[in-house]
Amino acid sequence: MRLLVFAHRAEAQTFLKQANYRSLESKSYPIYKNADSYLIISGEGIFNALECTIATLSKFEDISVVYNFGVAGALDDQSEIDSIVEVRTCYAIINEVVEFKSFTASSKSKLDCITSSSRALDKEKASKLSPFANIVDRELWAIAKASSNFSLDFRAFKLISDEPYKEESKASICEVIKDKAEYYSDKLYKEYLNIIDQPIVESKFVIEEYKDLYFTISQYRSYSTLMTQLLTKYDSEEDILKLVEVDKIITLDILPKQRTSILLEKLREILTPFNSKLQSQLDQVLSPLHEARVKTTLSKNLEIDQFKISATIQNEVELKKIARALTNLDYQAYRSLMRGNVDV
Amino acid sequence: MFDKIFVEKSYETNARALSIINRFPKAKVSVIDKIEDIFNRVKKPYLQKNESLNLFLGEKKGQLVKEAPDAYGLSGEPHYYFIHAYNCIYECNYCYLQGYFNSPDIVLFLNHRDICNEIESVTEECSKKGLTPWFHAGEFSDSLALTHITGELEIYHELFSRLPEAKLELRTKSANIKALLELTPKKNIITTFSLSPADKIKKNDLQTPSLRARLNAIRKLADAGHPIGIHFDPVVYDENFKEKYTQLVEELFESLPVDKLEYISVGVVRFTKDVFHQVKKNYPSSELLSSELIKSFDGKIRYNRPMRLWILSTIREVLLNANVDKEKIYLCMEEDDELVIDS
Repeated sequence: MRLLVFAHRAEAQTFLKQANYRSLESKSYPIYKNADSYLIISGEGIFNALECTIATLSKFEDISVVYNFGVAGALDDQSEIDSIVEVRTCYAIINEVVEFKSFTASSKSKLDCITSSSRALDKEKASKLSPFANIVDRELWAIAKASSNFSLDFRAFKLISDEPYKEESKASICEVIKDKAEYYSDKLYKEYLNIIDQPIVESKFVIEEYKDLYFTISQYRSYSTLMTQLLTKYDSEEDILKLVEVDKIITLDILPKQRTSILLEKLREILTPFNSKLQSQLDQVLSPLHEARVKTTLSKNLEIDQFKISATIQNEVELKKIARALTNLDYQAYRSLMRGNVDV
Repeated sequence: MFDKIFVEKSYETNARALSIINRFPKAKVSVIDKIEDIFNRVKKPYLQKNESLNLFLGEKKGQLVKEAPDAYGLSGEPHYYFIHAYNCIYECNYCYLQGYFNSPDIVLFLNHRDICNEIESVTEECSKKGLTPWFHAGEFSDSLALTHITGELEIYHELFSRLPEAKLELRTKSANIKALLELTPKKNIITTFSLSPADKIKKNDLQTPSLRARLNAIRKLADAGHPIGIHFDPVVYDENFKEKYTQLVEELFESLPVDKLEYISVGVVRFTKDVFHQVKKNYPSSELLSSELIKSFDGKIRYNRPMRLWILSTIREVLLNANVDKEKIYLCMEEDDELVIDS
């Protein structure tokens, strides 16, 4: 479900008329719902927008993305009056103090917005804000902050209603905006229809087509992580599967789940080739201990030479076996490997 | 290159500021009181440097010359860096600058005379103790990338010509040597180039000149008699790592006679936790993230010790085979790291 946040009912009027929203019970602010979204009217300003967005996101856990639609003023000539722009990053200025924290939308836009706790109506105010952003509004930063608190993506579309950077004195723009509210709402709704029309492309791994493998949930998660990392080194999933000889793995006479384990092991090997070789050489050097059933624990991340051993001794034969294993351990070879003298 | 230029009021009519501003006729110029009123005041996403980059011109206040951290340069001498710029036009995906400032915008400080005065007084103090101080330009920026626009090289050249007892390192990934070639080579002004195998430059040193361009620049500077140093830093491992570095060393010494090399430092890729977090955020499909990095003893992200020591000793061997004097090879290691050959 999407959450659509508007400051004023007038801006949302076309959405409410056209998209079959029904009113939900709410004591503090208007909230509506249709088949794929919630819509709220937060009221003007940072604190109203923050309260209402947080309250809504807390109440409805099925919201996956937040949209803000509304009007904004241009702070420079990067946007044209009456056009709708998508916002990239939003900043805020609250009581003349610039907030450090910014929020970036999942958008390809190049325009930034600063949310101001007071109205920006003239050139003087615009010049204070323009070093930080291209347009100014009253709510977006709060909506983005609320979305961020819930780890949700947000997108914002602003209709440029006025150009304070051109105004010598405080213009009576608020009245003009009220008069044009229906026209603005129509434009924003058309933009919204365009956005939700865009298909969502879901990517799937080729491995799902291999019916001779069986993935548990955790194995699939491992596969996904390993493959994502390997795809930074190799061109395609198919190339990687060829490299680990998946066609041979699927013919092995073992359980499908075990074939998957082998596949994952091979993927790990090609992801960490150095450490796979290092580990195998360390195993070789420590093999006298392992053969005598002495368990070895190397230092965390191999950062120091030290390693721990543990064993159970039940009789003298076992004791002598362990003593012999310790004598046969080539410590210098072990130390040399730990100091990077690895055959790669 | 720049959308907006912000110039401090006190530099509004400064000749150097105006000359820089004139190079960017399309940028909008605003006069501001202080750089810090705007720069770093808000968190501006690092990658927006590719879309909308601003330039700030003004004065560096506070400490202008700072003592460099341990293991910064060749050991045994005191190392300092001076700050005449913040941020870099290049976009290396491992760069610590992406986690250092809160904005990728470029800041150029124009009070070079103040910086020079401080360098002189540090040099004087060191000389009294019989030490040779090293000064590094480019802790927070590339030393040469913008010198054709900023024009400060000759100021530092003149200074270090008067201070033969001090050394200046100009560290760069650029091939922008035009301004430097116009100056007389000085023994104590060393230009150092950071190099990596060609494919690593393409993958990781985004927006920088290619290996070929850097090697050409090295050749031209060396031919003109400028001292050259090299940094293989950061070294990023892959399966053909040794072959790639062998080829890089061969190509390097086709451009630079081996006896003309001042020094070469080798450092393996490492990140602070914050920078690594930024790399993950900014370059989620970078090969750096899928390499064999671990969280190390001091919280930094690097290869495990056997791996980093193997990388360093492998490159050392390649350099020795290319007849580089072992005294000229400087391996950037952690305090407790020790190669087998040293122990």
